Amino acid sequence: MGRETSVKSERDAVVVYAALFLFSLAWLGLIFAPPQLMAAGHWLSATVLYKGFSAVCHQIPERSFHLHDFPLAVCSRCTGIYVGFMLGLMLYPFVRSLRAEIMPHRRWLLLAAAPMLTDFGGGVLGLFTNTFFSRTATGALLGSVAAFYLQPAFISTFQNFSTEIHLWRKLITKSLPSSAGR
Amino acid sequence: MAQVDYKKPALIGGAIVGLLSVMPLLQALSICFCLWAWVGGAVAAKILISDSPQPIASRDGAKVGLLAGLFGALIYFVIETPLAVWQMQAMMDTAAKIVKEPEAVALYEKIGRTTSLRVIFAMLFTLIGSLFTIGFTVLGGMLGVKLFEKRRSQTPPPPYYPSDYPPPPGGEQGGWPRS
Repeated sequence: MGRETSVKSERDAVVVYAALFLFSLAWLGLIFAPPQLMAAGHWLSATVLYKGFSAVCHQIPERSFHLHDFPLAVCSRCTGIYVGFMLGLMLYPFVRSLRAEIMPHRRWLLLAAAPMLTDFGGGVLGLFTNTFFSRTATGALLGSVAAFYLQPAFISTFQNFSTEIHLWRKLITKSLPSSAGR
Repeated sequence: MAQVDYKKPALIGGAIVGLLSVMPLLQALSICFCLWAWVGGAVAAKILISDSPQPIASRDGAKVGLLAGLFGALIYFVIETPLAVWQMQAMMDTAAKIVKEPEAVALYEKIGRTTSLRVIFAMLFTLIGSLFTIGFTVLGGMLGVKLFEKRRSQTPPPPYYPSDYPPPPGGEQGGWPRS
């Protein structure tokens, strides 16, 4: 249990979790924003977002979910990954302690990635034709499992940073009265 | 405690992120969940772990991921921006076909025709892509440390001095602590 719960304050763990949750929500918001902006007539801002996301996704319209007749900023597989990640994060507090720093064994991540890699590889090599559903579902599986790896990574990183911040704060509060006295 | 050298891992990780993200065939893997950014961050973390005599913390993974991401994003920006300028006309034509609104079509045509607007928008598009790449590289670095660092952070055991070991000369100025 020792390292498992080395983040001392439950509040710190909740803050890290909430930040990750809000960040994921904002990321999903960015993915859903371009079709909304298109429908509202904000073509330029929508185009900037679409083209920005082209660095992280192929954005083939036939392979994407649509909103107001416009494709989302990323394909159905990527949407599956990000929505799955969000669902994984929602599930996280019911399965593991928010303070846990230890990740599940990496074999689970590989197992979760295997269906998506098979689906992707089989499609690329022409062994079989993957479907809209298979792309979304395999992406969602990987995304939901990835949440169980990223939350401990964030907790661990925050733990390191919070120690540093604490030391800096101590240093600043020590130096402030002496500089004010001059 | 020995200083951790971030330069080599960051440069190698950044080169993976930047170069593989713009290479014609390998680029296809980058557009799948920003793969090369994750790989670049994780490779940087792995090299950092291998080169460091002490256990690496997640914070160091995030730092090396950030540095690798910045270097990779720089490579990506420098190579991808001229390509985007060159392809802007085609990009805007495709966008105009999707929208079909006369006002939007006119706007896209204007961007495609005007050189200064092409350069500005190409830089904007690539900049946003670079920022996303940096974010994923940081995550790759953090995850890399958590996956590859097997050593536990430990404080060294207190030194043991045999009772019959003679203290070095120096009297009160130095020597072994006396219990």
